[in-house]
Order: sequence, then structure tokens, then C-alpha cells
Amino acid sequence: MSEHQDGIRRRNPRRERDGRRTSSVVEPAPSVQAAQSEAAAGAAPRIDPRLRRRERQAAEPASTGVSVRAGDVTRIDQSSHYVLMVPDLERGRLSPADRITLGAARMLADADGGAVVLALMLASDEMLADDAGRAGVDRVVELRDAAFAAYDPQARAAAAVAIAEMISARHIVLSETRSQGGDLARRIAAALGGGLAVGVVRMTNASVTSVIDAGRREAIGPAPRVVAIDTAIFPAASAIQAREARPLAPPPVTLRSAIRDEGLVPMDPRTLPLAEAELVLSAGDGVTDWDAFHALAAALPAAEAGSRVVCDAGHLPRSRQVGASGTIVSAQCYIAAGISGSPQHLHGIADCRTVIAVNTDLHAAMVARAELAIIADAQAVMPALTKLVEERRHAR
Amino acid sequence: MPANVTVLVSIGRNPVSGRVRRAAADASALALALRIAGKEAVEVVHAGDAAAPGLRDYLGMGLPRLTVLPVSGNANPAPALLGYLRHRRPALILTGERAEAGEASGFLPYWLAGELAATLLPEVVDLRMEAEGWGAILAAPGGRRRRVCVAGSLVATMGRGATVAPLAAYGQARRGEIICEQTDTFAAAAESRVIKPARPRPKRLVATVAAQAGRGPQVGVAPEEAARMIADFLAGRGLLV
Repeated sequence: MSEHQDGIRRRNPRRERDGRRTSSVVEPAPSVQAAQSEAAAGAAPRIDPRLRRRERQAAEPASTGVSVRAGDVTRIDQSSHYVLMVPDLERGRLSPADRITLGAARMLADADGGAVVLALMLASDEMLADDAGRAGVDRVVELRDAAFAAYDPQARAAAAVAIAEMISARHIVLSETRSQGGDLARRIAAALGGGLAVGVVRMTNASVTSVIDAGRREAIGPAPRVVAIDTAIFPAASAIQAREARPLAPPPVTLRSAIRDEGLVPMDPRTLPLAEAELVLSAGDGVTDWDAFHALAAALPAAEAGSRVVCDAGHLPRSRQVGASGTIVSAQCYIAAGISGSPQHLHGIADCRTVIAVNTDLHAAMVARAELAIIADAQAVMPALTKLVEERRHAR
Repeated sequence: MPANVTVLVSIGRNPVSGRVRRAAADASALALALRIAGKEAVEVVHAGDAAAPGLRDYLGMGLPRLTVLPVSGNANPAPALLGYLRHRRPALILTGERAEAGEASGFLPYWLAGELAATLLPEVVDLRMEAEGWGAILAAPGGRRRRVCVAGSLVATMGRGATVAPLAAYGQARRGEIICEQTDTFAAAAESRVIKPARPRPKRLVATVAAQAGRGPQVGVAPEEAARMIADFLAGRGLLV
């Protein structure tokens, strides 16, 4: 079709658009300042956030660290700052909570080209069984002292503070676990100052969301010096890049503490608090040999518990009842002997990490819930297990 | 005789209904203080509003009087408490591990211990005065109990494992006296954070062991073989000591 039909000039939108495209290359790239000067001239301040981000990135390299990828290991040679992470460690390994906390430390470090430093406070015979580099640690400070063999949070906090001061850590990140990270975080914050955020559930750039008011409200603000992560809620890092885990020399410290540990108190398994116990041996209606039950609980040792039927019958006190109308247990392992598993009972063990069921009924609900289910009579298995546990203990 | 045991109490909130009450952990701390020192040697301090409901519940536990340091609604009670405690120098400060309302970060006892150069013990279950300091029983992971000794002044917090405080007596709660101590006034610091109602955030489920799940129920195994399987399962998780 002609452009000059009937003397009327018709516009070709495609050609006009192409013309605009080529001309924009010649024009200087728009910038935040240009947009701001336009705004000053009277126009509404409209700034493309992408432009703002691009300009910030262009200005940043001077302040951030230099990271190099060698093979599959990312190396940070010159870090702009350090983020110290103090793990709880579970039998010499990084616990699942530690790994989530490391992810949070990584986020704080990556926001501004920093490096994550793992603080290991070990007794003379302890060592880290995990590969710290694979867990995403840039530097490791290993401090060995005999004081770390005993319960001494004061000495641990003093050591963590000494390490934080040596590397002038911008943030110290811990998991908010009872009697470990949660306690240590508050001690470090009290010693260092510079603020504390506990119960941190989300983190973006350098702002943290922490739950306050016993879970009713949340506060969002810049990350303070000490950050304690609620690892039950904080999202786990999706992909962890391997890092070099380069060792740093520990600071010289002399640890003095007012706390003297006198060890764990020997406890009768019958009085072990049910709600706190790690290993629970629970009896149901299928248990008739109570001497064997008590002997096994003492041999393991495990906290004794029972189903409602057993407590109703008076075989165990009411305080030992597990379930919706009894105690909610959160054990590492729950051994259910002769328990079929009513919904009310299963509700009481919902927080248990693993369940072992010993039951004669293959179709019991407890058997379906269990990680290890043995279809046998509890009266035969209990004495055999008592004998085996005692034999193994004597063998060592 | 000046009081040598100070209990710091706060106004609690029922976690389910939100109803104002005495804080459970603070009440446990007060019950322990009354047991180890008797009601004449215990001083109970609350920084906040003297007319707050729930405060008299502490008096109902058998206290003749309670000291209140007036602090306005959202101001930090820590400086007022520190000023008061510096002046009193108690040998033992007992309190709950964290408040049931407000910031509830659990940091106050740690901050006070740092400022007063006292030792802090968390998760105290029982406490006794000994020749060279304090002997304490602490709640340890796995429901176990640990004995520790501390020399010098002590800040002890109670939470997990603490005995539940007895109920408050209504008559005693009415009779008890609330004394207001005048302290320096501290202005509330400007809040730099954004405060919002909490969003419901699901807790991560406890990971069940997938490797074992595929094995299915073990049928027809001898008792000895069953015992070996259970022992290996427990040993693999470090639960057999």
C-alpha cells in the first residue's frame, strides 16, 4: 500500500518504532541523576529501580571483596568484612540447625562482599567431622582449650568475643537453640554491645525480621551486631557453593570463668522429665511383663512413659501418660512397646524425630508411623534388648 | 536487714488467650527465692506500671510487699532496673528466662549480669547457697540435670524444667503492699525498626528418616535379631551410651 494514498499521509508505526530504537543508542544512557534533575525541573520524580541498582553495582566493586572461582570452590581473597558463625555442633558434626545458620551468615556476608568465618571452640581431643568448606565456610578459626570439654558458657562466650574482635566481625550469627546458641548469642551481645536480634525468621540484604512479643508481632530492621536465627522457621539455603575454609590463626586468650561444672546428675529414668527426654520407652496394653519394662528403661537409659490405657490401669503414674490428654513428647527416638497408636497417642508423639514400634499387630497405626517396626511380642524383645545393651556396655 | 535476694518480675500474657497474668517463669523464680531465702530476705521488683493487673498475683504467693519502679508503657525498663540494682547490690538476682509480652528477647538478664559484673546461669531448676558461692542444678538437653558451682554474685534465670509456681492466694494478694520507688526517668528510645503483627510462619517439620522408611515392618524376626536391630538403630543416632 502506498504511503501517499488520496493525498493523506499515513503513519507507519513499525517504522517509527525502529527509528526510536536506533536513536536511543546515540543518546546518553539515562541515569538516576538525570532523572533527579528532571524531577527538580518540576516533573514527578520517576526513577527506574533497575537503573538505581545498576548504578549502585557500578559504584560498588571498590568496597566489595574479590572472589575467585577455582574449579568448583569459590575463593574470597580480600574480603571487605567478616561474618562470624559460632556452631552448636552435635557430636562433632554441624547440626541441621548449624547449616541453616551458616546459610544466614552467608546472606549477611554476600550482601557486601564479606567472608564467613566459622569459630570452632574444641576441647583437646575433639575435632570437626564435617567438611567446613563444603558447608560454605570461607575461613575457620580453631581455638582449643581444656575448658571447652566441660559446660562453661562463660568461657565459650569469652572465646567467641576474642575471635570476633580479632577479625573485627561485622556480624556474629548463631542459631537460637536452648542452652547452646541462644544462650551464647545473648552473652556475646552483652559483652560486645552493638545490638542483638533474636528469633530471626527472614533476612533480606542486611535487614532482618525477628519475632517479638512472644510470637505476636515481628520487627523488621537493619541487622544488628549479633543475630540469633530461629532455625525451625528460617528458610534453608537452596544451593551451597563450596568454599575454601582457609584456617586462620586463633587469638591468644586466657579463659577465666566463675562457673565450675560438676557434671550431669545421675537420674532415675522414672523421674526423667518426659517432655525434655531424648529417648523415651513407652508401654501400651501389649506390655504385661513390667519388670522387663523397668529393667530395659534403666539399661538404656530412657524415660518411662505409657499410653492412656496403661496409666488408667495404674501400671504407671498419670504424669507419665503420653498423648493429647497427657504429655506431648519431642524425643529423638520414641520406642513404643505394645502400643497400637490411637490418634490421641500419635498426636502426643508428633514432634518425635524417630519412632521404633514393637507390636504383634502388623496393621497397627504405630507400625505405619514407625521408622523401624518389629512385628514381635514385646515380652520377648524387651529382655533380649536389655541383655544386648548391657553386653555392649561391658564390651567397651 | 537489707534484702540479699532480688526477684525481677514482669507482667505475663497467656500465650493462647492473651489474657494478662503473672509470668509463669517469673513466678517460678519467686517460688524458688521464697524457698531458699524466706519471705523477709526476698525483694521483688517490677519495672513498669504499678497498677498493672496481674502484679498482685505475685503478692498472693506469700509476699508482704513488692517494689515498683515506674516506667512508662513502651520505655525500656533496663536502665531503671540497673540503677536500682547497682544501689542495692543483691547477691542473687532471680528471674524468668524471657518475658511473655513486649520485646521478650530474653536479653535483659544477660545485660544486667554484664553491667553488674555478675555470673549468669540459664535454665536453673534448683539453687542452694553454699560456703563458697552458689550450687545450682541446671536443665541440660535430653531432660538431664547438671550441677554447677558459681562463686560471687549470680543472676539466675528459670524456664524449662522449673517447677510450676503454686497458685496465688486471693487474700494475700489483696493485703500485700505495692511500694513505688522513684528513679531517674529514662525516655523511650526511638524505634528504628518497623513493627508489624506477626505473620503465621509454619515451622519446618522434623525430618523423619527416609532411609529406614523403605524397609517396612520386620516380620518373623527372632527376639535376639530384633534386639540387635533396635540397638543398631539407636547407636546410629548416638542414643546408646
